[in-house]
Amino acid sequence: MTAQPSPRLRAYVTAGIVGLITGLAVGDPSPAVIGAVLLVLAIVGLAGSAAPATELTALDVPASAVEGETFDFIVRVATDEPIGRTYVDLALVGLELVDVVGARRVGRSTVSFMSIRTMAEVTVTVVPLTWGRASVGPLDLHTDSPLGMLDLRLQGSSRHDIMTLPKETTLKKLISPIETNLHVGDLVSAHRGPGSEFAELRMFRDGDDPRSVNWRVSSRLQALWVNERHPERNGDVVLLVDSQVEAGTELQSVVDRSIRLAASLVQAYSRRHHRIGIVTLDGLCRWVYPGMGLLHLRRLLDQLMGVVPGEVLWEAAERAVVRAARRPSMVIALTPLMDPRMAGLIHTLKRSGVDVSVVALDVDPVLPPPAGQARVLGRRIWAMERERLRDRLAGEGIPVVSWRSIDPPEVPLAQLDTWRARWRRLG
Amino acid sequence: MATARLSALAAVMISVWLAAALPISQGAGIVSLIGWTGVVLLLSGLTFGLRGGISAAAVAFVIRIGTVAPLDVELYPPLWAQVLLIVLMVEMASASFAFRSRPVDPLLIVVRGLATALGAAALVQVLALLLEGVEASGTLVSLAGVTAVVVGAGWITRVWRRSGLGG
Repeated sequence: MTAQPSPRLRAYVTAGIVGLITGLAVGDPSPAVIGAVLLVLAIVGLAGSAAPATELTALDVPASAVEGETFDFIVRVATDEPIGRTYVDLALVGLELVDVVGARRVGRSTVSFMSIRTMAEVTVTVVPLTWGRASVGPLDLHTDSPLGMLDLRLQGSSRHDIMTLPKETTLKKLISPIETNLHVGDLVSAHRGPGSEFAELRMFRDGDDPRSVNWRVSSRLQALWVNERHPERNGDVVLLVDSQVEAGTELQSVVDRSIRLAASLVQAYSRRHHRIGIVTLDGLCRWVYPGMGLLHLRRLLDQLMGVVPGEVLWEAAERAVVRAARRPSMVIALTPLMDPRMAGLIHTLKRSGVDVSVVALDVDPVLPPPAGQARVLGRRIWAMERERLRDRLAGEGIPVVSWRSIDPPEVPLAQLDTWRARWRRLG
Repeated sequence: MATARLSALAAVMISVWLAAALPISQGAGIVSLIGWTGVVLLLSGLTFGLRGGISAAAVAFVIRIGTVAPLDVELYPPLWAQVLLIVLMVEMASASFAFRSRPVDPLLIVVRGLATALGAAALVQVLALLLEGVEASGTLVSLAGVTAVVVGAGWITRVWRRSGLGG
Protein backbone atom coordinates (compact mmCIF):
# COMPACT_ATOMS: atom_id res chain seq x y z
CA MET A 1 0.00 0.00 0.00
CA THR A 2 1.34 3.43 -0.86
CA ALA A 3 0.84 6.49 1.36
CA GLN A 4 0.48 10.05 0.14
CA PRO A 5 0.31 13.05 2.46
CA SER A 6 -3.13 14.60 2.44
CA PRO A 7 -3.43 18.33 1.62
CA ARG A 8 -4.27 19.02 5.28
CA LEU A 9 -1.04 17.41 6.48
CA ARG A 10 0.98 19.57 4.07
CA ALA A 11 -0.94 22.65 5.17
CA TYR A 12 -0.43 21.99 8.91
CA VAL A 13 3.29 21.29 8.57
CA THR A 14 3.96 24.31 6.32
CA ALA A 15 1.83 26.74 8.32
CA GLY A 16 3.21 25.34 11.60
CA ILE A 17 6.84 25.93 10.62
CA VAL A 18 6.01 29.38 9.21
CA GLY A 19 4.16 30.21 12.47
CA LEU A 20 7.19 29.35 14.60
CA ILE A 21 9.52 31.36 12.38
CA THR A 22 7.08 34.30 12.29
CA GLY A 23 6.86 34.21 16.08
CA LEU A 24 10.62 34.48 16.29
CA ALA A 25 10.73 37.22 13.68
CA VAL A 26 8.10 39.48 15.26
CA GLY A 27 8.97 38.67 18.85
CA ASP A 28 5.41 37.70 19.78
CA PRO A 29 4.26 34.29 21.01
CA SER A 30 0.88 34.29 19.18
CA PRO A 31 2.07 33.04 15.76
CA ALA A 32 4.44 30.63 17.49
CA VAL A 33 1.53 29.24 19.53
CA ILE A 34 -0.49 28.70 16.38
CA GLY A 35 2.53 27.15 14.65
CA ALA A 36 3.17 24.83 17.59
CA VAL A 37 -0.48 23.72 17.68
CA LEU A 38 -0.55 23.05 13.96
CA LEU A 39 2.64 21.02 14.23
CA VAL A 40 1.18 19.09 17.15
CA LEU A 41 -1.86 18.29 14.96
CA ALA A 42 0.46 17.04 12.20
CA ILE A 43 2.54 14.94 14.58
CA VAL A 44 -0.48 13.43 16.35
CA GLY A 45 -2.03 12.66 12.96
CA LEU A 46 1.11 11.04 11.66
CA ALA A 47 1.87 8.97 14.76
CA GLY A 48 0.82 5.39 14.16
CA SER A 49 -0.04 6.07 10.55
CA ALA A 50 2.28 3.53 8.97
CA ALA A 51 0.85 2.01 5.80
CA PRO A 52 -0.21 -1.58 6.59
CA ALA A 53 0.76 -4.47 4.31
CA THR A 54 -2.44 -5.16 2.42
CA GLU A 55 -3.44 -7.57 -0.31
CA LEU A 56 -6.31 -6.99 -2.70
CA THR A 57 -7.56 -9.71 -5.04
CA ALA A 58 -10.55 -10.52 -7.22
CA LEU A 59 -11.38 -14.23 -7.12
CA ASP A 60 -13.55 -16.51 -9.24
CA VAL A 61 -13.90 -14.05 -12.10
CA PRO A 62 -15.16 -16.12 -15.04
CA ALA A 63 -13.36 -16.07 -18.36
CA SER A 64 -16.63 -15.80 -20.28
CA ALA A 65 -20.18 -14.75 -19.62
CA VAL A 66 -23.43 -14.33 -21.49
CA GLU A 67 -24.94 -10.89 -21.96
CA GLY A 68 -27.84 -10.19 -19.64
CA GLU A 69 -27.00 -13.13 -17.33
CA THR A 70 -25.62 -12.23 -13.91
CA PHE A 71 -22.52 -13.79 -12.42
CA ASP A 72 -20.69 -13.45 -9.11
CA PHE A 73 -17.09 -12.94 -8.14
CA ILE A 74 -15.35 -12.32 -4.85
CA VAL A 75 -13.23 -9.37 -3.79
CA ARG A 76 -10.87 -10.14 -0.92
CA VAL A 77 -8.94 -7.60 1.14
CA ALA A 78 -6.35 -8.98 3.57
CA THR A 79 -4.37 -6.68 5.85
CA ASP A 80 -1.88 -7.16 8.65
CA GLU A 81 -3.24 -4.20 10.64
CA PRO A 82 -6.84 -3.03 11.04
CA ILE A 83 -7.87 -0.31 8.62
CA GLY A 84 -10.88 1.99 8.83
CA ARG A 85 -13.37 3.01 6.20
CA THR A 86 -12.12 1.50 2.94
CA TYR A 87 -13.31 1.96 -0.62
CA VAL A 88 -12.54 -0.47 -3.43
CA ASP A 89 -13.09 0.67 -6.99
CA LEU A 90 -13.86 -2.41 -9.08
CA ALA A 91 -13.15 -0.66 -12.41
CA LEU A 92 -15.95 -2.46 -14.23
CA VAL A 93 -15.92 -2.15 -18.01
CA GLY A 94 -18.94 -3.41 -19.94
CA LEU A 95 -20.50 -4.68 -16.71
CA GLU A 96 -23.15 -3.28 -14.40
CA LEU A 97 -23.05 -3.74 -10.65
CA VAL A 98 -26.22 -5.52 -9.53
CA ASP A 99 -25.66 -6.52 -5.93
CA VAL A 100 -23.00 -6.53 -3.23
CA VAL A 101 -23.02 -8.89 -0.25
CA GLY A 102 -20.65 -8.17 2.62
CA ALA A 103 -20.07 -4.48 1.94
CA ARG A 104 -21.91 -1.34 0.93
CA ARG A 105 -22.33 -0.27 -2.67
CA VAL A 106 -21.12 3.25 -3.47
CA GLY A 107 -21.74 4.70 -6.91
CA ARG A 108 -21.47 2.78 -10.16
CA SER A 109 -18.58 0.44 -9.43
CA THR A 110 -17.29 1.02 -5.91
CA VAL A 111 -17.81 -0.99 -2.74
CA SER A 112 -17.16 0.31 0.76
CA PHE A 113 -16.11 -1.52 3.94
CA MET A 114 -16.79 0.09 7.31
CA SER A 115 -13.57 -1.36 8.71
CA ILE A 116 -11.33 -4.35 8.08
CA ARG A 117 -9.61 -6.20 10.91
CA THR A 118 -7.54 -8.78 9.09
CA MET A 119 -9.58 -9.95 6.13
CA ALA A 120 -12.80 -9.04 4.40
CA GLU A 121 -14.57 -10.73 1.52
CA VAL A 122 -17.37 -9.35 -0.54
CA THR A 123 -19.47 -11.16 -3.13
CA VAL A 124 -20.17 -8.93 -6.09
CA THR A 125 -22.94 -9.67 -8.59
CA VAL A 126 -22.62 -8.06 -12.01
CA VAL A 127 -24.39 -8.31 -15.33
CA PRO A 128 -22.72 -7.91 -18.74
CA LEU A 129 -24.36 -5.10 -20.67
CA THR A 130 -23.65 -6.27 -24.20
CA TRP A 131 -21.52 -8.75 -26.10
CA GLY A 132 -17.85 -8.05 -26.58
CA ARG A 133 -15.03 -7.71 -24.16
CA ALA A 134 -15.70 -6.78 -20.56
CA SER A 135 -13.26 -6.53 -17.69
CA VAL A 136 -12.94 -6.32 -13.92
CA GLY A 137 -10.06 -4.37 -12.44
CA PRO A 138 -7.36 -3.57 -11.82
CA LEU A 139 -8.95 -3.05 -8.41
CA ASP A 140 -8.12 0.18 -6.64
CA LEU A 141 -8.28 0.47 -2.84
CA HIS A 142 -8.52 3.81 -1.05
CA THR A 143 -8.46 4.44 2.65
CA ASP A 144 -7.27 7.05 5.13
CA SER A 145 -4.84 6.74 8.01
CA PRO A 146 -6.65 6.79 11.41
CA LEU A 147 -6.66 10.61 11.63
CA GLY A 148 -6.80 11.18 7.90
CA MET A 149 -3.35 12.70 7.52
CA LEU A 150 -2.34 10.17 4.88
CA ASP A 151 -4.16 8.96 1.79
CA LEU A 152 -3.48 5.23 1.55
CA ARG A 153 -3.90 3.58 -1.82
CA LEU A 154 -3.36 0.10 -3.19
CA GLN A 155 -3.59 -1.00 -6.81
CA GLY A 156 -4.84 -4.57 -6.78
CA SER A 157 -4.38 -7.60 -8.97
CA SER A 158 -4.23 -7.27 -12.72
CA ARG A 159 -7.24 -6.82 -14.99
CA HIS A 160 -9.52 -9.82 -15.50
CA ASP A 161 -10.80 -9.94 -19.07
CA ILE A 162 -14.21 -11.47 -19.63
CA MET A 163 -15.49 -12.50 -23.02
CA THR A 164 -19.17 -11.63 -23.11
CA LEU A 165 -21.10 -13.72 -25.57
CA PRO A 166 -24.40 -12.65 -27.07
CA LYS A 167 -27.42 -14.61 -25.91
CA GLU A 168 -27.47 -17.74 -28.03
CA THR A 169 -30.40 -18.10 -30.39
CA THR A 170 -31.58 -21.69 -30.63
CA LEU A 171 -31.21 -22.72 -34.24
CA LYS A 172 -33.28 -25.83 -34.87
CA LYS A 173 -32.16 -26.30 -38.43
CA LEU A 174 -28.71 -25.68 -39.82
CA ILE A 175 -27.56 -25.91 -43.39
CA SER A 176 -25.26 -28.86 -43.86
CA PRO A 177 -22.05 -28.97 -45.88
CA ILE A 178 -22.35 -30.93 -49.11
CA GLU A 179 -18.89 -32.42 -48.79
CA THR A 180 -17.86 -34.23 -45.65
CA ASN A 181 -14.42 -35.04 -44.33
CA LEU A 182 -13.03 -38.06 -42.52
CA HIS A 183 -13.92 -37.19 -38.93
CA VAL A 184 -16.93 -38.68 -37.21
CA GLY A 185 -19.95 -36.41 -37.03
CA ASP A 186 -23.69 -36.46 -37.58
CA LEU A 187 -23.76 -35.81 -41.33
CA VAL A 188 -24.64 -38.73 -43.55
CA SER A 189 -21.81 -38.99 -46.02
CA ALA A 190 -22.39 -39.80 -49.69
CA HIS A 191 -19.59 -42.36 -49.45
CA ARG A 192 -19.91 -45.96 -48.33
CA GLY A 193 -18.44 -47.21 -45.10
CA PRO A 194 -19.24 -48.18 -41.53
CA GLY A 195 -22.28 -46.29 -40.33
CA SER A 196 -25.90 -46.66 -39.40
CA GLU A 197 -27.64 -45.22 -42.47
CA PHE A 198 -28.56 -47.92 -45.01
CA ALA A 199 -27.27 -47.22 -48.56
CA GLU A 200 -27.82 -50.34 -50.74
CA LEU A 201 -27.32 -54.09 -51.10
CA ARG A 202 -24.47 -55.69 -53.02
CA MET A 203 -22.92 -59.10 -53.49
CA PHE A 204 -20.52 -60.35 -50.85
CA ARG A 205 -16.85 -59.78 -51.67
CA ASP A 206 -13.74 -61.17 -50.01
CA GLY A 207 -12.83 -59.12 -46.99
CA ASP A 208 -16.39 -58.05 -46.20
CA ASP A 209 -17.39 -58.11 -42.55
CA PRO A 210 -19.65 -61.16 -41.96
CA ARG A 211 -21.76 -58.98 -39.67
CA SER A 212 -22.86 -56.93 -42.65
CA VAL A 213 -24.40 -59.96 -44.43
CA ASN A 214 -28.10 -59.51 -44.95
CA TRP A 215 -29.27 -63.05 -44.16
CA ARG A 216 -32.86 -62.58 -45.17
CA VAL A 217 -31.98 -61.39 -48.69
CA SER A 218 -29.15 -63.94 -48.94
CA SER A 219 -31.48 -66.91 -48.17
CA ARG A 220 -34.05 -65.66 -50.64
CA LEU A 221 -31.54 -65.14 -53.46
CA GLN A 222 -29.38 -68.20 -52.59
CA ALA A 223 -26.20 -66.07 -52.52
CA LEU A 224 -24.44 -63.90 -50.00
CA TRP A 225 -25.54 -60.28 -50.05
CA VAL A 226 -24.31 -57.57 -47.74
CA ASN A 227 -25.74 -54.23 -46.59
CA GLU A 228 -23.80 -51.16 -47.54
CA ARG A 229 -24.10 -48.11 -45.32
CA HIS A 230 -23.32 -44.43 -45.34
CA PRO A 231 -20.84 -43.38 -42.66
CA GLU A 232 -21.61 -40.41 -40.36
CA ARG A 233 -19.05 -37.75 -40.92
CA ASN A 234 -18.61 -34.13 -40.02
CA GLY A 235 -18.01 -31.19 -42.31
CA ASP A 236 -15.98 -28.02 -42.37
CA VAL A 237 -17.89 -24.78 -41.97
CA VAL A 238 -16.26 -21.39 -42.37
CA LEU A 239 -18.14 -18.23 -41.37
CA LEU A 240 -17.25 -15.07 -43.24
CA VAL A 241 -18.31 -12.08 -41.15
CA ASP A 242 -18.28 -8.74 -42.93
CA SER A 243 -18.20 -5.79 -40.51
CA GLN A 244 -17.73 -2.94 -42.95
CA VAL A 245 -19.90 -0.02 -41.90
CA GLU A 246 -19.44 3.68 -41.56
CA ALA A 247 -18.39 4.24 -37.95
CA GLY A 248 -20.79 6.12 -35.70
CA THR A 249 -23.87 5.37 -37.78
CA GLU A 250 -26.92 3.24 -37.12
CA LEU A 251 -25.42 0.69 -39.51
CA GLN A 252 -23.38 -0.67 -36.61
CA SER A 253 -26.51 -2.49 -35.50
CA VAL A 254 -26.27 -4.52 -38.73
CA VAL A 255 -22.86 -5.79 -37.63
CA ASP A 256 -24.34 -6.48 -34.21
CA ARG A 257 -26.93 -8.76 -35.83
CA SER A 258 -24.38 -10.61 -37.90
CA ILE A 259 -22.11 -11.14 -34.87
CA ARG A 260 -25.05 -12.51 -32.87
CA LEU A 261 -25.96 -14.90 -35.68
CA ALA A 262 -22.32 -15.93 -36.16
CA ALA A 263 -21.92 -16.67 -32.44
CA SER A 264 -25.09 -18.79 -32.47
CA LEU A 265 -23.91 -20.61 -35.60
CA VAL A 266 -20.48 -21.29 -34.13
CA GLN A 267 -21.99 -22.83 -31.01
CA ALA A 268 -24.66 -24.78 -32.89
CA TYR A 269 -22.22 -26.25 -35.45
CA SER A 270 -19.78 -27.00 -32.66
CA ARG A 271 -22.40 -29.05 -30.83
CA ARG A 272 -22.92 -31.09 -34.02
CA HIS A 273 -19.22 -31.93 -34.14
CA HIS A 274 -18.45 -29.94 -37.27
CA ARG A 275 -15.09 -28.32 -37.75
CA ILE A 276 -15.57 -24.57 -37.73
CA GLY A 277 -13.41 -21.78 -39.01
CA ILE A 278 -13.98 -18.07 -39.14
CA VAL A 279 -12.84 -15.05 -41.12
CA THR A 280 -13.71 -11.65 -39.69
CA LEU A 281 -13.42 -8.79 -42.11
CA ASP A 282 -12.61 -5.61 -40.24
CA GLY A 283 -9.55 -3.45 -39.90
CA LEU A 284 -7.46 -6.52 -39.09
CA CYS A 285 -8.99 -9.30 -41.25
CA ARG A 286 -8.08 -12.23 -39.02
CA TRP A 287 -8.94 -15.84 -39.62
CA VAL A 288 -9.04 -19.13 -37.72
CA TYR A 289 -8.69 -22.39 -39.62
CA PRO A 290 -11.48 -24.95 -39.20
CA GLY A 291 -11.06 -27.01 -36.07
CA MET A 292 -12.84 -28.68 -33.17
CA GLY A 293 -12.76 -28.72 -29.41
CA LEU A 294 -13.47 -26.38 -26.54
CA LEU A 295 -10.23 -24.46 -26.89
CA HIS A 296 -10.90 -23.91 -30.57
CA LEU A 297 -14.45 -22.79 -29.80
CA ARG A 298 -13.08 -20.25 -27.36
CA ARG A 299 -10.64 -18.95 -29.96
CA LEU A 300 -13.46 -18.54 -32.46
CA LEU A 301 -15.71 -16.70 -30.04
CA ASP A 302 -12.85 -14.58 -28.79
CA GLN A 303 -12.09 -13.43 -32.33
CA LEU A 304 -15.75 -12.82 -32.99
CA MET A 305 -16.16 -10.72 -29.86
CA GLY A 306 -13.13 -8.67 -30.86
CA VAL A 307 -14.67 -7.49 -34.14
CA VAL A 308 -14.61 -3.72 -34.48
CA PRO A 309 -17.14 -2.37 -37.01
CA GLY A 310 -15.51 0.02 -39.41
CA GLU A 311 -13.32 0.04 -42.50
CA VAL A 312 -12.22 -3.30 -43.94
CA LEU A 313 -8.64 -3.80 -45.01
CA TRP A 314 -9.56 -5.32 -48.38
CA GLU A 315 -5.93 -5.96 -49.33
CA ALA A 316 -5.69 -8.43 -46.45
CA ALA A 317 -9.26 -9.71 -46.80
CA GLU A 318 -8.70 -11.77 -49.94
CA ARG A 319 -5.63 -13.46 -48.48
CA ALA A 320 -7.51 -14.27 -45.26
CA VAL A 321 -10.50 -15.69 -47.09
CA VAL A 322 -8.46 -17.77 -49.54
CA ARG A 323 -6.37 -19.24 -46.71
CA ALA A 324 -9.17 -20.15 -44.35
CA ALA A 325 -11.92 -21.13 -46.77
CA ARG A 326 -10.79 -24.09 -48.86
CA ARG A 327 -12.53 -27.18 -50.14
CA PRO A 328 -14.24 -29.13 -48.69
CA SER A 329 -15.39 -26.26 -46.47
CA MET A 330 -18.84 -24.78 -46.69
CA VAL A 331 -18.66 -21.00 -46.39
CA ILE A 332 -21.53 -18.95 -44.98
CA ALA A 333 -21.01 -15.24 -45.63
CA LEU A 334 -22.84 -12.85 -43.28
CA THR A 335 -22.73 -9.51 -45.02
CA PRO A 336 -24.87 -6.48 -45.79
CA LEU A 337 -23.37 -6.68 -49.32
CA MET A 338 -22.66 -2.97 -49.45
CA ASP A 339 -19.31 -3.22 -51.17
CA PRO A 340 -18.67 -4.78 -54.60
CA ARG A 341 -15.36 -6.07 -53.24
CA MET A 342 -17.26 -8.35 -50.86
CA ALA A 343 -19.21 -9.73 -53.81
CA GLY A 344 -15.87 -10.16 -55.58
CA LEU A 345 -14.54 -12.25 -52.68
CA ILE A 346 -17.60 -14.49 -52.72
CA HIS A 347 -17.28 -14.83 -56.48
CA THR A 348 -13.60 -15.88 -56.08
CA LEU A 349 -14.58 -18.55 -53.56
CA LYS A 350 -17.26 -19.92 -55.87
CA ARG A 351 -14.84 -20.05 -58.77
CA SER A 352 -12.37 -22.04 -56.70
CA GLY A 353 -15.07 -24.66 -56.09
CA VAL A 354 -15.99 -23.77 -52.53
CA ASP A 355 -19.59 -24.35 -51.44
CA VAL A 356 -20.61 -20.81 -50.49
CA SER A 357 -23.91 -19.34 -49.27
CA VAL A 358 -24.72 -15.73 -48.51
CA VAL A 359 -26.95 -14.23 -45.83
CA ALA A 360 -27.40 -10.62 -46.96
CA LEU A 361 -28.43 -8.45 -44.02
CA ASP A 362 -31.07 -5.89 -44.77
CA VAL A 363 -29.80 -2.38 -44.04
CA ASP A 364 -32.79 -0.28 -45.09
CA PRO A 365 -34.68 -0.27 -41.76
CA VAL A 366 -31.71 1.18 -39.88
CA LEU A 367 -31.05 3.98 -42.35
CA PRO A 368 -32.54 7.40 -41.59
CA PRO A 369 -35.24 8.47 -44.04
CA PRO A 370 -33.70 10.41 -46.95
CA ALA A 371 -34.30 14.15 -46.87
CA GLY A 372 -34.81 15.76 -50.23
CA GLN A 373 -35.42 14.50 -53.71
CA ALA A 374 -31.73 14.06 -54.53
CA ARG A 375 -31.19 11.86 -51.49
CA VAL A 376 -34.27 9.79 -52.26
CA LEU A 377 -32.90 9.23 -55.75
CA GLY A 378 -29.45 8.42 -54.38
CA ARG A 379 -30.95 5.91 -51.95
CA ARG A 380 -32.85 4.24 -54.79
CA ILE A 381 -29.75 3.99 -56.95
CA TRP A 382 -27.79 2.51 -54.04
CA ALA A 383 -30.55 -0.04 -53.37
CA MET A 384 -30.51 -1.00 -57.04
CA GLU A 385 -26.75 -1.45 -56.96
CA ARG A 386 -27.02 -3.77 -53.96
CA GLU A 387 -29.83 -5.63 -55.70
CA ARG A 388 -27.61 -6.02 -58.75
CA LEU A 389 -24.81 -7.48 -56.61
CA ARG A 390 -27.22 -10.01 -55.12
CA ASP A 391 -28.57 -10.92 -58.58
CA ARG A 392 -25.09 -11.31 -59.97
CA LEU A 393 -24.14 -13.74 -57.20
CA ALA A 394 -27.41 -15.62 -57.50
CA GLY A 395 -26.84 -15.86 -61.24
CA GLU A 396 -23.59 -17.68 -60.57
CA GLY A 397 -25.44 -20.30 -58.56
CA ILE A 398 -24.63 -18.89 -55.14
CA PRO A 399 -27.55 -19.09 -52.71
CA VAL A 400 -28.22 -15.52 -51.55
CA VAL A 401 -31.01 -14.78 -49.09
CA SER A 402 -31.96 -11.46 -47.58
CA TRP A 403 -32.33 -11.35 -43.82
CA ARG A 404 -34.79 -8.69 -42.75
CA SER A 405 -34.39 -7.22 -39.30
CA ILE A 406 -37.87 -8.35 -38.26
CA ASP A 407 -37.18 -12.00 -39.07
CA PRO A 408 -35.64 -14.45 -36.62
CA PRO A 409 -32.31 -15.91 -37.74
CA GLU A 410 -33.91 -19.24 -38.57
CA VAL A 411 -35.73 -17.67 -41.54
CA PRO A 412 -32.66 -17.00 -43.73
CA LEU A 413 -31.18 -20.36 -42.76
CA ALA A 414 -34.37 -22.15 -43.79
CA GLN A 415 -34.43 -20.20 -47.05
CA LEU A 416 -30.82 -21.12 -47.73
CA ASP A 417 -31.58 -24.78 -47.02
CA THR A 418 -34.50 -24.75 -49.44
CA TRP A 419 -32.42 -23.03 -52.10
CA ARG A 420 -29.54 -25.48 -51.73
CA ALA A 421 -31.85 -28.48 -51.79
CA ARG A 422 -33.47 -27.19 -55.00
CA TRP A 423 -30.09 -26.64 -56.65
CA ARG A 424 -28.97 -30.13 -55.66
CA ARG A 425 -32.12 -31.65 -57.14
CA LEU A 426 -31.55 -29.74 -60.36
CA GLY A 427 -28.04 -31.19 -60.44
CA MET B 1 -19.15 16.52 -7.07
CA ALA B 2 -21.80 18.54 -5.27
CA THR B 3 -20.22 17.78 -1.91
CA ALA B 4 -16.81 18.82 -3.29
CA ARG B 5 -18.24 22.17 -4.42
CA LEU B 6 -20.07 22.63 -1.15
CA SER B 7 -16.98 22.06 0.98
CA ALA B 8 -14.90 24.29 -1.33
CA LEU B 9 -17.52 27.01 -0.94
CA ALA B 10 -17.44 26.62 2.84
CA ALA B 11 -13.63 26.92 2.85
CA VAL B 12 -13.71 30.05 0.68
CA MET B 13 -16.45 31.65 2.83
CA ILE B 14 -14.41 31.04 5.98
CA SER B 15 -11.31 32.54 4.36
CA VAL B 16 -13.28 35.58 3.15
CA TRP B 17 -14.67 36.13 6.64
CA LEU B 18 -11.18 35.85 8.11
CA ALA B 19 -9.78 38.34 5.59
CA ALA B 20 -12.64 40.75 6.04
CA ALA B 21 -12.48 40.80 9.84
CA LEU B 22 -10.05 43.63 10.48
CA PRO B 23 -9.30 44.40 14.15
CA ILE B 24 -7.51 47.69 13.63
CA SER B 25 -7.20 50.74 11.49
CA GLN B 26 -3.44 50.93 12.10
CA GLY B 27 -1.65 48.72 9.54
CA ALA B 28 -4.98 47.69 8.05
CA GLY B 29 -3.59 47.93 4.54
CA ILE B 30 -0.85 45.33 4.88
CA VAL B 31 -2.99 43.04 7.08
CA SER B 32 -5.81 43.25 4.62
CA LEU B 33 -3.44 42.59 1.70
CA ILE B 34 -2.06 39.46 3.33
CA GLY B 35 -5.56 38.22 4.21
CA TRP B 36 -6.97 38.72 0.72
CA THR B 37 -3.83 37.17 -0.78
CA GLY B 38 -4.69 34.09 1.26
CA VAL B 39 -8.22 34.12 -0.12
CA VAL B 40 -6.98 34.42 -3.71
CA LEU B 41 -4.45 31.62 -3.20
CA LEU B 42 -7.11 29.34 -1.74
CA LEU B 43 -9.59 30.18 -4.47
CA SER B 44 -7.08 29.57 -7.25
CA GLY B 45 -5.94 26.34 -5.61
CA LEU B 46 -9.50 25.05 -5.41
CA THR B 47 -10.35 26.23 -8.93
CA PHE B 48 -7.31 24.84 -10.71
CA GLY B 49 -6.88 21.75 -8.52
CA LEU B 50 -3.63 22.90 -6.92
CA ARG B 51 -3.36 21.33 -3.49
CA GLY B 52 -0.57 23.73 -2.58
CA GLY B 53 -3.18 26.51 -2.54
CA ILE B 54 -4.45 25.23 0.82
CA SER B 55 -0.98 25.38 2.40
CA ALA B 56 -0.36 28.82 0.89
CA ALA B 57 -3.65 30.17 2.26
CA ALA B 58 -2.96 28.72 5.73
CA VAL B 59 0.53 30.28 5.69
CA ALA B 60 -0.92 33.65 4.64
CA PHE B 61 -3.38 33.66 7.55
CA VAL B 62 -0.66 32.67 10.05
CA ILE B 63 1.55 35.51 8.76
CA ARG B 64 -1.44 37.81 9.03
CA ILE B 65 -1.76 36.95 12.71
CA GLY B 66 2.00 37.49 13.07
CA THR B 67 1.59 40.95 11.55
CA VAL B 68 -1.26 41.98 13.85
CA ALA B 69 0.04 40.38 17.07
CA PRO B 70 2.91 42.80 17.89
CA LEU B 71 0.62 45.83 17.46
CA ASP B 72 -0.85 47.29 20.61
CA VAL B 73 -4.45 46.30 19.85
CA GLU B 74 -6.77 43.55 20.91
CA LEU B 75 -6.83 40.71 18.42
CA TYR B 76 -10.18 40.31 16.70
CA PRO B 77 -11.46 37.67 16.36
CA PRO B 78 -9.59 36.22 19.34
CA LEU B 79 -6.65 33.90 18.69
CA TRP B 80 -8.53 30.68 19.44
CA ALA B 81 -11.31 31.67 17.03
CA GLN B 82 -8.79 32.50 14.30
CA VAL B 83 -7.15 29.09 14.73
CA LEU B 84 -10.56 27.43 14.73
CA LEU B 85 -11.38 29.14 11.42
CA ILE B 86 -7.97 28.47 9.84
CA VAL B 87 -8.16 24.77 10.70
CA LEU B 88 -11.79 24.58 9.51
CA MET B 89 -10.77 26.26 6.25
CA VAL B 90 -7.94 23.76 5.75
CA GLU B 91 -10.25 20.84 6.60
CA MET B 92 -12.99 21.96 4.22
CA ALA B 93 -10.61 22.69 1.36
CA SER B 94 -8.84 19.38 1.92
CA ALA B 95 -12.21 17.60 1.98
CA SER B 96 -13.06 19.22 -1.33
CA PHE B 97 -9.99 17.61 -2.92
CA ALA B 98 -10.81 14.28 -1.29
CA PHE B 99 -14.40 14.37 -2.63
CA ARG B 100 -13.09 15.10 -6.11
CA SER B 101 -10.51 12.35 -6.27
CA ARG B 102 -12.06 9.34 -4.53
CA PRO B 103 -15.12 8.14 -2.66
CA VAL B 104 -15.15 9.32 0.95
CA ASP B 105 -17.67 9.46 3.74
CA PRO B 106 -18.85 13.11 3.99
CA LEU B 107 -20.08 12.72 7.57
CA LEU B 108 -16.76 11.29 8.73
CA ILE B 109 -14.85 14.10 7.04
CA VAL B 110 -17.01 16.86 8.53
CA VAL B 111 -16.98 15.36 12.04
CA ARG B 112 -13.22 14.85 11.88
CA GLY B 113 -12.71 18.39 10.61
CA LEU B 114 -14.84 19.91 13.37
CA ALA B 115 -13.14 17.84 16.06
CA THR B 116 -9.70 18.84 14.80
CA ALA B 117 -10.65 22.52 14.69
CA LEU B 118 -12.13 22.48 18.19
CA GLY B 119 -9.12 20.57 19.54
CA ALA B 120 -6.70 23.06 17.95
CA ALA B 121 -8.68 26.04 19.27
CA ALA B 122 -8.74 24.61 22.79
CA LEU B 123 -5.03 23.91 22.68
CA VAL B 124 -4.26 27.45 21.47
CA GLN B 125 -6.41 28.92 24.23
CA VAL B 126 -4.58 26.86 26.87
CA LEU B 127 -1.17 27.89 25.50
CA ALA B 128 -2.24 31.52 25.20
CA LEU B 129 -3.27 31.53 28.88
CA LEU B 130 0.02 29.95 29.87
CA LEU B 131 2.05 32.43 27.85
CA GLU B 132 0.04 35.50 28.78
CA GLY B 133 2.36 38.44 29.44
CA VAL B 134 5.39 36.63 28.15
CA GLU B 135 7.81 38.83 26.19
CA ALA B 136 9.06 36.66 23.36
CA SER B 137 12.28 38.47 22.53
CA GLY B 138 15.93 38.31 23.31
CA THR B 139 18.76 35.92 22.32
CA LEU B 140 17.67 33.12 24.64
CA VAL B 141 14.12 33.10 23.29
CA SER B 142 15.41 33.17 19.73
CA LEU B 143 17.74 30.29 20.47
CA ALA B 144 14.93 28.33 22.10
CA GLY B 145 12.68 29.07 19.13
CA VAL B 146 15.23 27.92 16.55
CA THR B 147 15.86 24.79 18.62
CA ALA B 148 12.11 24.14 18.72
CA VAL B 149 11.87 24.55 14.95
CA VAL B 150 14.79 22.17 14.34
CA VAL B 151 13.49 19.59 16.84
CA GLY B 152 9.96 19.87 15.42
CA ALA B 153 11.20 19.46 11.86
CA GLY B 154 13.34 16.49 12.90
CA TRP B 155 10.44 14.86 14.67
CA ILE B 156 8.16 15.31 11.68
CA THR B 157 10.82 13.88 9.37
CA ARG B 158 11.19 10.85 11.63
CA VAL B 159 7.45 10.21 11.81
CA TRP B 160 7.15 10.89 8.09
CA ARG B 161 9.74 8.25 7.26
CA ARG B 162 8.15 5.72 9.61
CA SER B 163 4.79 6.23 7.98
CA GLY B 164 6.22 5.05 4.67
CA LEU B 165 5.80 8.35 2.90
CA GLY B 166 9.37 8.24 1.67
CA GLY B 167 8.44 5.24 -0.47
